[in-house]
Amino acid sequence: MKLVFAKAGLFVAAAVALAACSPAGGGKENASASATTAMTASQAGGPAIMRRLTQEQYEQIIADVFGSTITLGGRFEPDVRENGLLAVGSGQVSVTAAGLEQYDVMARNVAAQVTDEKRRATLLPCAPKDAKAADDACARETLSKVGRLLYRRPLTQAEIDGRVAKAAEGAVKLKSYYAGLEASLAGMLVSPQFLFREELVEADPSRKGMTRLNGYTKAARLSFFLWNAGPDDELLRAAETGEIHTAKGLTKQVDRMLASPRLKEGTRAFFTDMLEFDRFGTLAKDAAIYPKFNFKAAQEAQEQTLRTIVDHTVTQNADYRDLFTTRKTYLTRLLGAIYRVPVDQPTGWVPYEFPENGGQAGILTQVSFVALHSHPGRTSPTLRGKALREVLLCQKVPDPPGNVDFKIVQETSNPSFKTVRQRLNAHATEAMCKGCHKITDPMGLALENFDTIGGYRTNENGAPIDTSGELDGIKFNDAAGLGKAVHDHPGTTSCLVNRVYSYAVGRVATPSEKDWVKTNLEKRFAEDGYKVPQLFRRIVTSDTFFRVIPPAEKPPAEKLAGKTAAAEKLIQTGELK
Amino acid sequence: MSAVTRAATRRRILQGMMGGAAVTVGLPFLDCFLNGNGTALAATNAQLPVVFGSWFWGCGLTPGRWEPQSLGAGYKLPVELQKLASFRDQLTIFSGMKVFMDGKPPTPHQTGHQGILTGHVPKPGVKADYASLDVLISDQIGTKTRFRSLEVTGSGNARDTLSRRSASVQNPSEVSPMALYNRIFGPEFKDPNAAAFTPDPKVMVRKSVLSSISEERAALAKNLGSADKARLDQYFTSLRQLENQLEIELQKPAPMAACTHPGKPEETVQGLEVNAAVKNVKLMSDLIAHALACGQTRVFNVAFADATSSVRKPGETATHHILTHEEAIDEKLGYQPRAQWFNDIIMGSLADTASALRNVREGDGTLLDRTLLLATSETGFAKIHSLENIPMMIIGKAGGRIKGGQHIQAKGDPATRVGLTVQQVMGVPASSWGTESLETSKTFTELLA
Amino acid sequence: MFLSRHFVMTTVGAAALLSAGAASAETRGYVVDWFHVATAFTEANCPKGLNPLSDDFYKHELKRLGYANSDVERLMKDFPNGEYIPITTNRGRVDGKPVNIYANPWTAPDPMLMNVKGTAAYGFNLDGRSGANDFVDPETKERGVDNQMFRAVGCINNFAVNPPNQPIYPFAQWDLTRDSSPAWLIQISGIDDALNDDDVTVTLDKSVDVIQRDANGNAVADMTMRVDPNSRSHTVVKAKIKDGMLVSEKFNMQFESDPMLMPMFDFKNSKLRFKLKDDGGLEGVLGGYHAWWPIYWSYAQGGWIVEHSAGLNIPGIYYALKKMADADPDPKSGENRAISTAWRITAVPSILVGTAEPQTAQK
Repeated sequence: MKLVFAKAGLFVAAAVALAACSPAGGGKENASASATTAMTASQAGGPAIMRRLTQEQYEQIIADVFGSTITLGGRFEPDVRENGLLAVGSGQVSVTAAGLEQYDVMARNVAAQVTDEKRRATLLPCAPKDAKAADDACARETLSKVGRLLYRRPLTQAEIDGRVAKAAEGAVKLKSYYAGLEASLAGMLVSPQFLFREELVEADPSRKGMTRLNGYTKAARLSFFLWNAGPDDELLRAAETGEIHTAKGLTKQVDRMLASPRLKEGTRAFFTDMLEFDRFGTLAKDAAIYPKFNFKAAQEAQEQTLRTIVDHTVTQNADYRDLFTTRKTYLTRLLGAIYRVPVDQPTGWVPYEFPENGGQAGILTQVSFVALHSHPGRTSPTLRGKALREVLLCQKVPDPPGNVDFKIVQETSNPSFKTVRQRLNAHATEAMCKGCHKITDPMGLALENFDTIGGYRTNENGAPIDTSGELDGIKFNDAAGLGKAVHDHPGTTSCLVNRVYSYAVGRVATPSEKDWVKTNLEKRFAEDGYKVPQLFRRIVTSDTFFRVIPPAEKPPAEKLAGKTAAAEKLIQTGELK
Repeated sequence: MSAVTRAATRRRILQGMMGGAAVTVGLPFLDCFLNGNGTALAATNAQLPVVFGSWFWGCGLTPGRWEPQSLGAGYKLPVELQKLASFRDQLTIFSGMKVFMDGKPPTPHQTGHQGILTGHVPKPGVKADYASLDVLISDQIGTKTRFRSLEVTGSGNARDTLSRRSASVQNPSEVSPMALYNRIFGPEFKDPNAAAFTPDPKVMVRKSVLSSISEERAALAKNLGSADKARLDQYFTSLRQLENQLEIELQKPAPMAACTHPGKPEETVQGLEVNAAVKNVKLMSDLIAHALACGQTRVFNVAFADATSSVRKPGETATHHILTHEEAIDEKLGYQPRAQWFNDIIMGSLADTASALRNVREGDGTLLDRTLLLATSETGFAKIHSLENIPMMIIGKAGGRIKGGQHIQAKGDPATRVGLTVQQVMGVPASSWGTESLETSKTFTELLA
Repeated sequence: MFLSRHFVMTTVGAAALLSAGAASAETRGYVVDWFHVATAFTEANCPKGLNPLSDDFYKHELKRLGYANSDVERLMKDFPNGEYIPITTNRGRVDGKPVNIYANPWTAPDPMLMNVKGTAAYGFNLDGRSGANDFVDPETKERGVDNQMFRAVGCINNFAVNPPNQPIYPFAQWDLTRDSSPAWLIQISGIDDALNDDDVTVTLDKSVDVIQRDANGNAVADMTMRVDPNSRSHTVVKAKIKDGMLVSEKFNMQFESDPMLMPMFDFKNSKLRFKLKDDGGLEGVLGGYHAWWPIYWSYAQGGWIVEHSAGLNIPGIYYALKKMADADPDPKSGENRAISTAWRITAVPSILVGTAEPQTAQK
């Protein structure tokens, strides 16, 4: 099987499907990529969508509005990854009954703390005339002020009237102003206006017949993208006055946001999503074999990479590609123990530069990559190679086929196969297996110096480890060589640009947007020296980012062959499309 | 069990609930559970509602070691099901069940359960909005209880769930016994047997607030595209369920004679270490049994771990899943001994869940008697991701609606036959189920009592 | 593969690199993970079984104090709680008045604990003689082993275990202190051949850092530990490695510890041995003479809590240690003030900084 990694137009699509797993399988490009784009790049845009707040966004908003001492006390519905990003998944998920139950628990917890005797004086703008009775004026002031921040826009008249009425009803029934306010506020926190980021559209006065996002939606897109937080007062003001629609007004806000320390939080949030660090939540290593990898190690491993990335891309404003070769990072004592290097500061983080030719080079050799993409008790060049292709190069590695004869794999218990390479070689002599493993293993094997928790090793079961490998025609001898190959791979930067754009809009780019990303954004990124903050700026100051183009009529849903009575019923009740 | 011992048991239970304090509730209270003959009210299972449970595990069992040699009743229990020996009389085994692909490439460890539990195998990359079996059933029997269904997993990962209303609405699993306990038996739990009942005004206010959110629905839906509108609809379906929960809290619950408070479970470690998974499943099964006995839900779903069965033994480099692929078949034994070890553990865990239900005495029977517990895996031979002969079983009598203790073989039949039969037993008005080659209108009539 | 450390320099590297002979020799660092009394249980060691547990010996003591059987049952009915506690705590008598037994163990008669009768005990032949009172080390088969501390306590339930099991109370003491106390460090330098080398140097030090725990609750291996430059716990001793087993020369050692365990260990005429394990760690025994009163006090300071929960008859231990003491006679009374002891040590690899000898890459 020949991998189609020629220069010709392969990175058009954000996700490139690699050849299927059969030995005869040929390359298959993403259908949407080959679709001709009716829209020219200069008119690129996409539909407005509704996104569910992620756990981090929810937490950040509560902290911003009510202070960081408020505890939530509930559990979040798992976010869902789509097209490589939770941000895209957030535009496709809803809320299950069990999930809403938890949002309700958290809403009531938060509302109880906010209206608690200890906090109400500092958090609430007014006090009622009589704490045992309703006070519509004070409730209105409180709920409209809080509501504007929670809903990321002023409440509609109907909304505020409804909330005030419920606060009054509760105050009367429970004989307490604060109990009524608490109930109404809890309702606000469980309402779809808060839990979902609805994007609102208006006619674009500057382009006849076209639509654009309204000011508040623009403000929210900006702040969730750049800060991973709801818009602050100043952004909402710019939305209110319409300043945000002018080039000057927008630039002013963007300058302010990019200069803010919160940009680091936004950058972190993006890379946390792209690098799939949510998976650390359930990552476990076998304690009997790798006792160093405790809960703290899992946390610090993510933090190490995020610090490396934020320092490199934001603080140093350096070339994104160098993340795959840099030896500079930050360590704690515990990470020092995993890497077996001295860190003599008893607590906290210290800047550290790995020695040249010491093995470690670039974020692929950090614990967060090699440990996340390994089994609990052993490494997996296949998983690492797959992650490299899917996470960092935006390619799709096909799933292994079903009903494969694994006879050859049985040989893996043969004690003469000491290293993973030997085992995989045995496996891949089978033509059926070879197709898949050729896509992933040659680059994964270059990381074999790093055990399943990221510790450095030069042999496995007493046999020396061979770390030679290959990535799309570039051969190398070790992890540093792999880092260099990834640094130079055209897919690396193209993937980042596509992921960032997709993250910012919360969905897969439309064909016109993809065209614009390829012909404009990717080019600019290169011209700008692969600076991430500059990429963010290019996106948020572009017309494409805010231009709304209603989606083409949805292709008919997969045909329901032989609908059951139950399915019919669900369709009728609107619960099944 | 005589009325006297039953009363004594009840007394002990009450005592236990009050932390060992003297029994302050006199016999008149007990009287309300007993009729003139001294047999408990609602003593026969027929009068208590049926319960549906699903129990899923990945990587199947060893072909040839779990299928009985003979058909029908009176089969000899196969070697890999020995952990279920005490359920022999109400254990029905289905062999030969198959999931058809219709030319679509399979996704290993996913396709099997998709076919079995949703009746549909999606094309790769296509999101198919087919609801899972338990959701179809809970739509029928679970709408009047506090929880429409309860989902748990031993894996420690809330994403390990097979219960779904649509591709974008997957019901997350509880992973911690303590969290599950707090959810069911926390402050909002209303003991159905409590003598006094006063509706909580706070709950009334909350319900009123939630209703007002529903009133804003039209204004919100106005601007949305069809996909987003559907997601918003799902939100409001969930909101209705929450309102319904509050409505149930505001009504005096019907007494449930077997309802007892389980007491707080211990704090546990969660994760894919197999002993932790077994322990968490066991503790959560006990809580589910109590919840069922107290009328809090009628549907539950247990996923032993993830569909790939990534559980592992401490100190082993290979997980169950890896072993199924990599371990050689021992020529003398004829199977993979290290992978098979996990099969025993997992069947033991299934027995734990069934035992938890059987431990709840209800009149002359047990909670298990009114339950249909459907146990299923996703592959017939994990080594090659086979979709033939996938192990499926039913434990329980579904309130006398089914005949237990049979071996039913349907070589090469779609596994959806089991799902359709189960739906009908649970009262879902379905005459056929599944798509393409998985579509079937044939039920297993031999199962029906 | 565990040994392949790919960094070389430490903070004081430059000066040390110039020191002669260091070029080829290797230096390894360790942090002590476990330290507790070395125990060896055999049936022959305790032919009459083990000493009674606390509820038994408390009943016995109450009867001795004159309580009737029915009173004893009443006082003990809520054991481990109950009315017996103040009575047994003050079971000493001075002029007929009750006194605290733990501070004044001599104020009650010797409960005559059964001591070790067999020949198995870990340790070293410290006095160069082999006599009737001496043991054979089960690991090294060394004869004439002096370990009278083990003879005193070895038939108490708590100590009736064999490695890798740990005697429960000493284990608990160590476990409690090591999260808060500065760690103990070991450095082995001058290693030319880790299997056989007749000239290596062992340096014992205290750290300014505390260990961190790994997923199994043990010390995290390969973590950086800073040597306390001002410690009173610095000891250097020569040693030989034979077939992978390091044995030191005799030395005296003072070591600051946690008051919960022992404010200051003070070993005389002691020896160390370590197995250099395949996983990079150390496992071995420290043997030496130590004043017996502080050893007694390390148990007695816990009073009733330790006595009843660990089943350690505190005055019983007092009398046993006093009787078994075998060194350092008091010039006036002639009573021995020190006792031969042995302690088990487990250590994991560690990156030591601030030492005289920098750590080097291992071969």
